[in-house]
Amino acid sequence: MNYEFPLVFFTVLTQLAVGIALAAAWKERRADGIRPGDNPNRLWQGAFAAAAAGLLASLFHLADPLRAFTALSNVGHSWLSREGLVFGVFAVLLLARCLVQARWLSLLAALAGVVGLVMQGLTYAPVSMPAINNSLPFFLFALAALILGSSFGQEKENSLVSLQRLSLIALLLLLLAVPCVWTSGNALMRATAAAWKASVPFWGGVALLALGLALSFLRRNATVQGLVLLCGILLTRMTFFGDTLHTAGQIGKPF
Amino acid sequence: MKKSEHASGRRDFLKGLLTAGAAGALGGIPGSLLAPRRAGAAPFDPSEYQVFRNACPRNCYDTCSIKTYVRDGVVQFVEGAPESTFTKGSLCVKGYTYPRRIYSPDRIKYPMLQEGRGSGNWKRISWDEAMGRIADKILDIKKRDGNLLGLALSKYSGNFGITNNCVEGMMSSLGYTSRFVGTPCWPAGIDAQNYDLGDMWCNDPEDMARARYIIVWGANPAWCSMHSMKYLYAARERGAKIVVIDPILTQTAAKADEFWQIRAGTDGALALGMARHLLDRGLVDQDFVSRCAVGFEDFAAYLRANVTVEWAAERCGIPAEAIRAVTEEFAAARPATVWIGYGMQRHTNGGSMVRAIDAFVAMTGNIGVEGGGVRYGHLRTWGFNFHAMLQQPPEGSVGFTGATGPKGEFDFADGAKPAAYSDRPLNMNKTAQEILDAKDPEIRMLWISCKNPFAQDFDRNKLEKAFKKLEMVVSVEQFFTETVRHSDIVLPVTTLFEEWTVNVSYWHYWLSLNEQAVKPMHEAKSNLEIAALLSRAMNAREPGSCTFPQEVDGKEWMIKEFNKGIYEQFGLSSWEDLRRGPAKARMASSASWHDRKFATPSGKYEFSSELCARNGFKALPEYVEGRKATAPFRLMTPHVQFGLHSQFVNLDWMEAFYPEPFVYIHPRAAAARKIEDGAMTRVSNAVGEVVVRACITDTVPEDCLVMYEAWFRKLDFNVQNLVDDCAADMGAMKTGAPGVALHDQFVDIAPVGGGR
Amino acid sequence: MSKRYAFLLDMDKCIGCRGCAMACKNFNQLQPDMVWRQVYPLDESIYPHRDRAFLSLSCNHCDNPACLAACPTCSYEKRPDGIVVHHQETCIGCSNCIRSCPYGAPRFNKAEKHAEKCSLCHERLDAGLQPACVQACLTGALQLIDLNAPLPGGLVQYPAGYPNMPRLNPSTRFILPRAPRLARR
Repeated sequence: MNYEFPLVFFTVLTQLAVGIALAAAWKERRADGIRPGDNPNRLWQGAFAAAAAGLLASLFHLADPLRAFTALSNVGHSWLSREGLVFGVFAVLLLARCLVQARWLSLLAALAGVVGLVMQGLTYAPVSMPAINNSLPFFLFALAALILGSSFGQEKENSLVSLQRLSLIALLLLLLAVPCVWTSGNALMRATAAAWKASVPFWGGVALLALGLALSFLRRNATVQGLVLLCGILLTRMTFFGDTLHTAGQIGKPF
Repeated sequence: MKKSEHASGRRDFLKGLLTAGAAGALGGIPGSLLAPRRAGAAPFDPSEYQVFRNACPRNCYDTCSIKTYVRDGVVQFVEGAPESTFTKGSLCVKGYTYPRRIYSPDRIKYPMLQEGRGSGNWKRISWDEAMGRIADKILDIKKRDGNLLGLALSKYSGNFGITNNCVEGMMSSLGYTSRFVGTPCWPAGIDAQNYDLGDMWCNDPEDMARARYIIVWGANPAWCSMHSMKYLYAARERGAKIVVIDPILTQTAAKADEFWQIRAGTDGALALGMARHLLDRGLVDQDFVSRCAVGFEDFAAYLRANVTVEWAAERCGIPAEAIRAVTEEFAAARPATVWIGYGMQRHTNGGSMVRAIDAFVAMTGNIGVEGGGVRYGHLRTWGFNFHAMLQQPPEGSVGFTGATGPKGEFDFADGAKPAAYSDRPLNMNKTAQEILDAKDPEIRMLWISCKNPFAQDFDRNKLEKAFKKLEMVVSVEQFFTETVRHSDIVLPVTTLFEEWTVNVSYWHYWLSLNEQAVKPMHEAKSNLEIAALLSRAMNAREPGSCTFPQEVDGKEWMIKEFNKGIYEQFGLSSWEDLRRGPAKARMASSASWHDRKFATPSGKYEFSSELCARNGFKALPEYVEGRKATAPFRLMTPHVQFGLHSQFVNLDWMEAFYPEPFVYIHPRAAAARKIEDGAMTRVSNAVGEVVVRACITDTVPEDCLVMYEAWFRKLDFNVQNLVDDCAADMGAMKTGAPGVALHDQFVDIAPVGGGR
Repeated sequence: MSKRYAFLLDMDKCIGCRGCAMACKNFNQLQPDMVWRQVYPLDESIYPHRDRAFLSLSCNHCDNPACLAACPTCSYEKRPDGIVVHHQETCIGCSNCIRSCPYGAPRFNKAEKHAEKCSLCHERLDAGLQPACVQACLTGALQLIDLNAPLPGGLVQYPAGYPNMPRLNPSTRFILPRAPRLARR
């Protein structure tokens, strides 16, 4: 099974970065949002580190990473070019925000991240994969960003815990509901549903997400809980990239 | 990977442009930095290549004329010659792999010696050392036995290039040797057609387009004579009906208007039932049976007394009403034709079945008719000098004094032999048994060329035992086959692109030149050069011990095969005319027997053949029961479209399309044995066993299993583990040995490891 | 009006021999494990007998190619005659075209580390020759047609077993296979 690990890490890490950026920008929405002891720069630095790591991971997906910059050529047509461009800008804005404390920069960075999520949602919804040729990837990615943002985008006390629980429940419901919806779709969607349901990473990921949800009620170590959620999302993302069936694999069979 | 290193000029051109483009981009407008300039490919230019004429020499109906495109001394690609209306610009899936065969990393590169047969402990030796060892052994045998009958030749259809008969010539030039004679391919049908018609002679296949009704009987041209399919289609487009009769729903059957899944080995009963129905309906061509035939009244009496349509239907499994309908349609259409496949006669009653079908077609008067005929094969374009084959033994050679016959269907030398001694004939279809049984002298040494006995000879386990008796085995090969594994010395032989020869077909009427297009790779040598080298080694050790010329030129030897008869038949002024493209025989008619003067003793079509009776069979094409089943399933091991016997499937190019073999089994049979689709199974009988994945398909009958013979370089798959050497009825008369009943084999099957 | 080149596959004539696909490897000198054209047997639910009817497919040279839209490096080009050309020399091997094409036309060349696909042998067409696969088809099942010229009747754009992608508007056309009347035990 080809799980496309570079894409798994690229998408999850950039979504982590977007989530942190959103959390940080949210905290800065009022001048008094920053409480004593908070170090908003640490969040921005974290976001930048995640974004940079994600972009680095994406290079491993290329056969010729040294020419990665040419991937920006087709901004006119290719969602992949647009995704690359927006996340490139996003990373630059994050870096800028780390260096210069300015609310407009924070807002701009957060906005770029959200636009990046939209681009990503469109890039990974190819026409050749009927099961995900819809808004599902966007919602999966957006929820991942919210969950990771609310886990890693907080300092000291968990001010975003309700958002985290809400988005976790939404993601779990979505992950469990989607294969059921597919079973009433075409042959390829049904086969994708079966592949997801038979996927070990999928159930492992779901279990970890559920564990993360439980941990959020125990209010124990937030770092441990964040890592549990990160692993859960990585695992389900492996299924997304590795077990979603492509029409080309079914040619000659009924669709 | 040699090939890729010499990558095409187009790619080099692209690379050049790319460099220029990149340089331009850097100095150009900023936007082009992101979008490097692309290369534009130049149109394909055939004049950049040297084009050579080649011919596919495999044992195949189609014997394609090839155009080979060479640049920088490397074959870049091949295509079918457009000049031949039969090849018509297209090769088959096998033919297109040829560039890979030449440059395959798997090729045997130099002579090698295996220390311990089967050990895999191969070491490279020089040609001198190889030929020295071989010559020493031959002289040793002569000293021990006083003759060379202990040296045997196993050669058949791996390369039908005419000059490759120099291998037989090389053996003759050493003295009298033992020869494996006969053919596993088509002998029963050859004899059958000889009894009925006086020769095996088919219509031009291209005239099938004119047929109004075609029965393809036990042939699968969609896989085994792909170029013939266009004539079937052309006939259908003009309104002809196509009926396919076969135990397997073949690819050809899928293209038919009507398919009859006959019980294997009952084709004779079906043909007789159809003949009886012609009688009943008064559909017999009275003119033909009375004026052009003998013995019809006897045959009619036999039919009336012994055959009914219901009787035939009962035996062959085809409903009586279908038999009646097709018989009437066939008789009403004119011309109507039957194509008899070779698989149909690989039965203990094979020859008798071919005779019954011949008789059915003869009764409809379709013999000697353009677009009609009962088609099987022909050797009418094979009138070469066989100069390479006909070498004289050294003075004073001692040989075999027993009875002999022809050395195969391609033995065009009979009659010209000195009387005192001959070669010792051994039955090719019982190679293992003959090696085990040979006495006075025993077979001590085996020379193998253009053949892969471990892939093609029957009862592999017995063959293994037989090879242990041999003191030396020399294989002339291109790849490390199972036979090479059982050899002491292997000599690398050229591919068709590295040697000169000339080729004709046993089906169509085209003649193709085969030019040397490239220098031999590695240390490969042609069979002709190998013969000359052996002669040199022999004469150096014992002057006069080998009459084969010690200096040869492949091109000259090719030219020596031509004669006036060939030039006239093909309308050539010289062989060089063939450099412009293949030539077709000029024929008075596209129909064989068009003057209805048959080559039988009576000069007529013989429904009743005394010759046949003298040879121990029935004079009439009577019904003969097939071989009794000895296990629950009949096993059929026919050809697959990806290979020709053991060739082609071993190439990595072919693996891209045909990576693995299967045993094909009917869904009900599979369910009864608890075999799932794709599960590993063990197919076994008294001969041996094969472990192979199952493919469940309704294209095979419930009581049959099918495996396609092939050699996979990475797999231990060999159908000869299950096929015994049971003889077919006919074949000895024209080919020296009866055929083999390789479709009368019986096996059982069980899932392996829980069936998954 | 300019041409719009397309493949026509007469599945009723196609014998699944793979000659087209091998001729492509032969002429285009593909890596040993690479194919630009593949022959797919139809499932028994579509054609009643297993491995007896086929879809021989390479690139469909779509009207709106998914590969061209997906490629971030502009390595795809659509010629005025409809041929979709992939330029290996600018490909960075991101595989996005392979993910995006519903027909599996672009494939990844592991040895040379880039995507590649059927070029419709445009170098041959430009020299007045047929594509290698079409020339190789010995039953006449695979033909080159011009969609902007009058077409024979009975052509199908989306046979069963072939992804139905109206947005892309693939150019390949098909004639459906028939099955023989059977007399069997």
